[in-house]
Amino acid sequence: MNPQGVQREASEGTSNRKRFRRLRLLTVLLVLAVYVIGLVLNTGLGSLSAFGVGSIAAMCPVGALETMIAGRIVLPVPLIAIAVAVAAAVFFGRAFCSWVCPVPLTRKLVTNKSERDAFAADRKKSGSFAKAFLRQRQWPGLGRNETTALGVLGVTLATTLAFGFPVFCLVCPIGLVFATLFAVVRLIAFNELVIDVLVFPTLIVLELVVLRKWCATLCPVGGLLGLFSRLNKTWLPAVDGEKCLVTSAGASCDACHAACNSDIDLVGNRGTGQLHDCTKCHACADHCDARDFFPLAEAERRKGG
Amino acid sequence: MAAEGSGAGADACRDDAGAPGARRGETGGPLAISRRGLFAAAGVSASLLVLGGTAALAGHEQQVRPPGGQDVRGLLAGCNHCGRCVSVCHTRAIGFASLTEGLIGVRTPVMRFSLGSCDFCGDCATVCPTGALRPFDVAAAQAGDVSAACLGKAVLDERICLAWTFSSCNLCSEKCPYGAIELSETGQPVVLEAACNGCGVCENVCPVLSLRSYIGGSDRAIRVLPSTEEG
Repeated sequence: MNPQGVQREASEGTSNRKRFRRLRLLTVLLVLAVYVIGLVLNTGLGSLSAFGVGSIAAMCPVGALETMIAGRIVLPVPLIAIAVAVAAAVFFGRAFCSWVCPVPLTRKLVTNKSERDAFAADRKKSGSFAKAFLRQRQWPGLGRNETTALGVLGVTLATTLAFGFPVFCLVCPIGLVFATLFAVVRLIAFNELVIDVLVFPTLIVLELVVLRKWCATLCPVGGLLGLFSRLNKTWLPAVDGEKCLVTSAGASCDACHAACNSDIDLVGNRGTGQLHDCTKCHACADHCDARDFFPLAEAERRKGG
Repeated sequence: MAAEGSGAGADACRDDAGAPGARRGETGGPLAISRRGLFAAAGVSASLLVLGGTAALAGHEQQVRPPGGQDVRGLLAGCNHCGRCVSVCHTRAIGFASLTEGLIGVRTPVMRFSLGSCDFCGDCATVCPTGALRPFDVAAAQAGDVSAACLGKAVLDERICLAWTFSSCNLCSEKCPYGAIELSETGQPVVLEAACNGCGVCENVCPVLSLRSYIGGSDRAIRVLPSTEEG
């Protein structure tokens, strides 16, 4: 399948392909370990919902919005947290999703269906693409996966306003992962036996099995980051038209698209994900048959000439 | 839950999967959301509405909260379950409320005096990023000023208190840092409510559960119960 004659040593190719996946696993586990250690050592570190030292803390931007709306009050730490999250989205896009968030890893542990499998199944079922239900009524500039994610974000904020407490935080899979970890720590440390230690993981499993395309199409945190990752210009995957099997040789290759958990089709733009939804996971480059991709950082060098 | 949707039916613009180039009927602009995606989002939204309504309407038992958290509505509104207060408490007295203690308050901070007592160091309020635990006057609280911080009031259960049934214990009175438990003429402890700030030392040291383990249950003879007024 290499008409260009691009050959790779099989072993080198395999280890290179897995390198980024292993790195991502490492960073996610490291993040979890740091928070668990922070709890055990009484450092006051926190969780991804809010973490910091002393009175200085960063927060999940959705949680920050929810708590301010629920309390009908503007607060300094949440406000700064939102600004920091926006800046992170501008500089790193949705890299949080692949490199920090424990949900993708948790999904791998609880189900054998990955998000990209769910997208692939959709493609098979309805021809090339799902029938567009609101095709005529789409909002300008918004389309595809982020529409539903922003809808969930909207309902999240609306229910918080209506009921006076952060509703979504009760069932957020990120929060539930930490809640499970903390409950297990307290079970071991204090013999604190509560039903929560069973309920939380059950809820996570239910959510990630039923809502298989959570990350790309439903997660309000991802949706919020996606609003500002439009401004992100660094580490964007780019296709070299001369090497791509599709553009240069007319082959029907879909490897990068099939590998993408956000359903981004870089070549034909037929996926339900868009470029700013990219979580910088590097899977597209890792799976390219022609290895025509620039590693994400190199795309920058190329543009700079 | 979210309906995965019946098959979306034959797409009139069907073309070969994987074929490059233009699709019939597509101008290259972004697609609108799919029916399946809409159902999933609607399902999640409906669930949030039901969850919020249920939690808000269902009553919840008053719990003993960390200092600065006596405004329960403010605490429930502001708490995003980050766990910083639980983590920072050096006496390990703060824990997470369980699901069984009320849906709306699950994972919010509550005092667990069986594990430790409160010394009003103020760290929990300092680390709270949303003000769910409000800062309070640490020095005044540690000096015993009940108006600076009061987690609740100690309440004695005379039916199981060792002193009240066998005149054989005065640990709570002895250990109370604020002199809020005095002994009657016959040597039984009595709580002076005005002086009690709910620090939980009495509950923490009460030996009833070990010396009367045959009676079962998890309530000690003296417990801090939440006050209903805002602190």
